[in-house]
Parts: sequence; C-alpha cells; structure tokens
Amino acid sequence: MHPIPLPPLFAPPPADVPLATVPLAGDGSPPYVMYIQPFTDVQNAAEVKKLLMAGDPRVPEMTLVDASNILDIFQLQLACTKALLSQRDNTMTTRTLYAEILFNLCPTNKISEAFRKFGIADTSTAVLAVMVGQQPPSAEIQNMLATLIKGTPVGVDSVPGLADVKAVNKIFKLGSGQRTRNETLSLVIGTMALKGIMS
Amino acid sequence: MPDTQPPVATLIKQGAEARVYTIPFAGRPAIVKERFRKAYRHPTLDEKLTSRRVVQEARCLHRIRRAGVDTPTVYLVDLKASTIYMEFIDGISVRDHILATSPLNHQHERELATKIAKSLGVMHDMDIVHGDLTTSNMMMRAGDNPSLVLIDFGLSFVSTLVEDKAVDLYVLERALSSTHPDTDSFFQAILNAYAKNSKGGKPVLKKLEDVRRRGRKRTAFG
Repeated sequence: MHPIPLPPLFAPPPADVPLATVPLAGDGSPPYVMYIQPFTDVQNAAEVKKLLMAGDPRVPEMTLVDASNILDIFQLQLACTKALLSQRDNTMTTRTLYAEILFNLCPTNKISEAFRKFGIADTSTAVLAVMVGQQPPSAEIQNMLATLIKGTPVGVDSVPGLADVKAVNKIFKLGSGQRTRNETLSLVIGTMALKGIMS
Repeated sequence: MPDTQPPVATLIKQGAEARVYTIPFAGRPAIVKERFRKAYRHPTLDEKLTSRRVVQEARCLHRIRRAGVDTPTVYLVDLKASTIYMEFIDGISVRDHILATSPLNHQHERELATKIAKSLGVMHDMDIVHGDLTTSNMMMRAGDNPSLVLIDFGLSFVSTLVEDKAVDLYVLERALSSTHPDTDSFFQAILNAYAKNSKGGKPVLKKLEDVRRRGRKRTAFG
C-alpha cells in the first residue's frame, strides 16, 4: 500500500509567547499516515461489499471508497484528518473512524447517503482501499486485501484519472458552469471543510 | 518516507484578534489563522465569541467562493483550537501592486477597478459585507491575467441592509485615499463598474452619499 502523510495540525502557542515559528504536531507519538491502494477492473465489488458490511474476518479494517467521486488524493487526506480530529474531540458522527472517513467525504449529513455515494457499490469497478494508522499495515493485512479484491492494483497517480467529474459536480451541487478541474477540486474541498458548520 | 526536518509554522502576521502562520499542508503551501484567547474576557464568553467568529469567517469565505468570487479555499476548520487552515495565495496585494506600478495608466486602472467592482458586486448581492475592505485585503494571483482575490473575512458578516454595504464601500474609499493619495479617479472607476455589475448597486451608491456626509457611524442621537 502507498503511504500518504497526513498534514500535521497546528497547536496554537500561548498568546503571550511571541514565537516566529512553531513546530507542528510535536507530541512525541508517530504521526498518523494514510495508506491507500487503488484497484481498477474490480470484478467482485458486490461480494466484497457484502463481506465488508457483514464484518467478515477476511476483510481487514479499512474504508473502501468508490474511485469515481474522488478527484484527488487531497479529498481523502482531508477526510482522514477530519475524522482523526473528530476522534480527538469526541465529536464523531458515526461509530468508527473508517465510517467517519466516508461520512466526511460526502457533502450532506446523512450517513447512509455517504455510504451509498462514496462507499464501494455493487457496480464499482475502480475502488480505493484506505487505511489509517501510526504503523504501516502488516504483510498479513496486505495479503488479506490482495486476496479479497479481484482487481488490478495500480499506483496512486492513477486516482485522478478514475474520477467522474460530472458525478462530482452533481453530488456537490456545483452547477454546470465552465471551470477548470482545479477550481472544481477547490469547491469540493471547501464544501468538505465547511461541512457541519455551514448552516 | 523519512522526514528531513520537522515541519514548522512561520508567523507572518499578528493582529489584535488573530495570528497568521504559513504552514505546509498535505504538500500544499497553506496558511493557518489562529484566533487567540483574550485574557480580559470571561473564559466561557471568550470561547463562544471566538468560535462563532471562526465559523462566521469560514462560512463567508466559502459562500462567496461558491458564488464565483476568488477567495482562499478553506481546507480545514479546527474549532477547538480556533484555527482555520486555508489556501496560501501566491501573488501580491493590490496595495503593493498599485504602489509598485504607480502611476497607473488609464487602461490598467479601468481593468483593475472593474475586477474589484465585480467581486464586490457579487459579494454584496449575496448579502455578505466584508467589513474591512482595504487594498491590503485584496490580492492578485501570480500569472497572466491574474484574478482578484478577496482575503481576510475576519470582520465579515451577513446583512441585507443597504446601509452596511454602503459603509463597506465607504471604508474602501477612506482606505484608498489614505494609502494611495492621488487615486480619486480609481475609486470613481470602481463605483461606476459596481453600479453596472451588481444587481442591488444603485441604492447602495445612493446610500454612500449619505454615509459620506456623516461618516461611518450612524449618529447615536435620537
């Protein structure tokens, strides 16, 4: 799996300390890292989804994301960071960190909708396996993943190519105006960041 | 991948309400704006006020971004730490731009004024009042045909009142005349373009006349 560092968070210094620089996230523990493995040409999405939902022991703990709504890894990094933040503050909406990641990807506040739109679906052909941890997943877990999903493992670079920009526009209600892909990504990111505090 | 150096946040601006740092954020340059505690306020009140202002700022930034005005993209809001993480804008402030290219030629002045007026028009049509319009709070992205970016929504709020929007423009007029003394025509050009480009522009300009006569604050008597 490919390690993607998560952004370290800023811990404000006391107001009376006029520091020019502040080290980020220096609490001694190893930082959380996101591990991601994209698969294309997935043939058994329906089966995997069933096992995942049943909590089958053959399925490692992870989030399986349908690749079509992910324009950029940045979306996943932010969803993970937000999930870890909610875990820290005890403000999680869902019961597990992995469900929280899916929930954070979705612009609406309905958990079931988040699962339906961003989680693996019966018809998914491109899927991203996402894990978060302070240690990389063991070889055993990686083997479990490889035997579970019948598809082609590909590099992280291919993630943008698996996205369906039209579907993203629809889910995030961005209208159909002409804009660059980066601009669309910015609007998606902003909407994710403002989720829960917008209204 | 081994880290060569621990990432640090570098202070770039300190104000009365907040500090702004530049930080690396998921491989992108970002800034983090931290509203700090006020020791003189009651802790409970302080917490409420601070978190409300953080939320308000993030909302205003995002709402007008969605409406098509260029603003820094909000990356993350950490209410507990009263911080907003947002896009680092690569560019220069309109203030520095005007100072560097002074005197502005007529054509350029008109283009810049139109860009500013368009952004302000869309913003006001969405009933968002910036609250601190100065040329330092407007930036131009680096590159050809740079888009105009409105920044620092720390004092912004939602209002449908023509009065508030007029005061917004008045603040800009005063800021312009103090930072860029020979630019009367520039502000006039902004007003002309504002009238053309915003739906509710006419009444605001009319109100601006009143505001000019009496100043930013409404009279406290009667």
